[in-house]
Amino acid sequence: MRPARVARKASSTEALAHLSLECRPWAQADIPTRIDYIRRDRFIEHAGVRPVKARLVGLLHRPRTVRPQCVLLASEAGSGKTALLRHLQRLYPDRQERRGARIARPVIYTEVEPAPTLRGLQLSLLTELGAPPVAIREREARNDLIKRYLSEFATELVLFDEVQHLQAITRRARMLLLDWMKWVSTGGKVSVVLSAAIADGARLIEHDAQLLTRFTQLRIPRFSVGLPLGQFLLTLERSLPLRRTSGLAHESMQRAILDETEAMQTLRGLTDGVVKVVQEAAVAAVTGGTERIERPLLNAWHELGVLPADSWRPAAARVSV
Amino acid sequence: MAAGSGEGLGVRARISLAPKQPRRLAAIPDPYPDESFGSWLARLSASHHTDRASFVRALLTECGATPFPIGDYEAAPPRELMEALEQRTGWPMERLRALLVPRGEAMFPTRLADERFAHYCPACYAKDAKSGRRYIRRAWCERWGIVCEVHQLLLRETACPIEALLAGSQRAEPRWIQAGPAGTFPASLCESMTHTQRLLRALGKGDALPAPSQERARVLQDLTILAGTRFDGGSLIEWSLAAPGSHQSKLYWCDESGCALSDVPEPRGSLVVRRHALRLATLIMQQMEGARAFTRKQDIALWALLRWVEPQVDLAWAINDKRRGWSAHYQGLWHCAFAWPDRRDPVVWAQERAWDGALRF
Repeated sequence: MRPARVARKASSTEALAHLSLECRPWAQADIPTRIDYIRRDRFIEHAGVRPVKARLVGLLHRPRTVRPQCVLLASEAGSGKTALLRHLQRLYPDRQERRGARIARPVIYTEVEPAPTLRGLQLSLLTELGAPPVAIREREARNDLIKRYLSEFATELVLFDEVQHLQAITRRARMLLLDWMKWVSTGGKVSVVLSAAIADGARLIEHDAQLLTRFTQLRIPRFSVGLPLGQFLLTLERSLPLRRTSGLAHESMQRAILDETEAMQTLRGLTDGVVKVVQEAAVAAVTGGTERIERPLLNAWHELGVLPADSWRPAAARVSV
Repeated sequence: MAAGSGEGLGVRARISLAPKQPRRLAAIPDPYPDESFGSWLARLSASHHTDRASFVRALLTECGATPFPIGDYEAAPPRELMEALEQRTGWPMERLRALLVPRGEAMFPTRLADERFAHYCPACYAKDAKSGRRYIRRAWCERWGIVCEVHQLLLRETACPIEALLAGSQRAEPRWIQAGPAGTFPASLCESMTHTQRLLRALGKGDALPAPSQERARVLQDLTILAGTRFDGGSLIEWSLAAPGSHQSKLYWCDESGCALSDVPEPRGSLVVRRHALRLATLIMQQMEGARAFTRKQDIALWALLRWVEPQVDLAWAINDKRRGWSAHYQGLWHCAFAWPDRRDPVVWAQERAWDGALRF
């Protein structure tokens, strides 16, 4: 949704120079629209995620081989794995070939459900591939269809997210499912990325020497005070429609934000925590009228009461907007 | 690092929502040039390891439509299904519609007697089995799809699901439903029926025919429609198939009032009804032209009955005059069927009724 009124005056543009070009019009929108925009998912390609993305992108455009290279992406929950995988999916959308007669779908993203089963995983992958939701009884038939879809869509990368759910099932079942994921790679001649919210990814695949050699382990590091976090916060700030500069990249602000992430998520410096702390602070800055994130607003995620009561609009007024 | 300044950092934010991708199907078989829509859909379903009904149900559910049973895949599949397929295959609607049997005014609906029933030419079936590419021809689903025009053989039908029929060697050979009583369809008659069918198809499609053929085709069409119509008292087909000495005929079918007189009602317009209607029309026409005599007692009796009821009326003229109320005109004929003196030999009976001598047997 575009803001109702877009600022076009040169003076307004100059005043919003601290924002990205895409974000500037949103800064002129009404409060609910701005809050909605602030809370949207966003992917920021920061220094920690860039090499991981480069490795994943490197899996594309390779010749189809019998043993495609695969990746195990294991980091703590909230480190930005899902955002990265979703970003990759958006980066390589379906494309029409042969004048629309054929669809190429280079990247497939699928989530592993809690308490996963082979049937559930097969159906989930088929759904993501676009197969209609028909009940196929035989396991081999489901695999056959998966193989045909992967082949016809010229898929190069299959992303399995939330693979940590495999830890909750028996060892035998886990081995079976991991073996099937390996089959997806071999049978479909695609690279497979397993994304797991665990600190030590090796634990997941150490039972199988072939898996260990097949899967390269990557991780997204947590933030600490420094240039990478500064870059990240600056980019984040430029994407938040606040009318005044907040100076989030400043070292003291970095430290304060990291403190808040630790308070919120126990773990310090997770991407998700940083984004949430800043987003809620930005919402508070918009609703409070300060139009910039000041240090006291950083704990806005915690409770609304940290703000002066008179700075909040009555609930009824917000509902009516 | 300067707070609030982007200089030297070289970073950027991307904010985007996942775009809505058109969900396309894979494993879509290319239709054969003369393949019917229902057959292609069954093959598409088979490539997804499911049956046609389940596949269609899934497609309809997916697009938000309430699944419902589909009676006619060949001529008038539901709009929702066509739209779902258009979107999921990425094919233009014209390509899908090209697989459908054109809908014309038809007393005989193009649909099969039942979704579970499928038609096949036995010779084509054997040939297809060898080449490993079984499919239902569009011509077999048309109004005049009664005889395979390639092999001049009657189409057979089976009660096995279309998926099993097309799967071929993977499953047991389907049990074919008998075409009719023994000797009802000799090869020479099938050959004549093929010609009749070609003529009627050409007439239906509006193809240019020489004047005599045009007139002949029109009479044949009327005769077939007449034979395939069931009135209160019965029909020509029933009469033709009635066992001697019995008032019961072996063939029944539902008409618009939904009457069913036996355990196995035959739907109006089914292949069985069309097959026998075409046979009778061909026989009557040939008899009128003096080209061939009836040979079966039931047929002889039928012919005798026609002549007895309306000895003074030119049959072709009467049939062509149907727009002036031919159905009412022939109501009496069907009642006569039930008044048939069952102990009398129909041939003798016909001769007693001043048979004109055209009968040769």
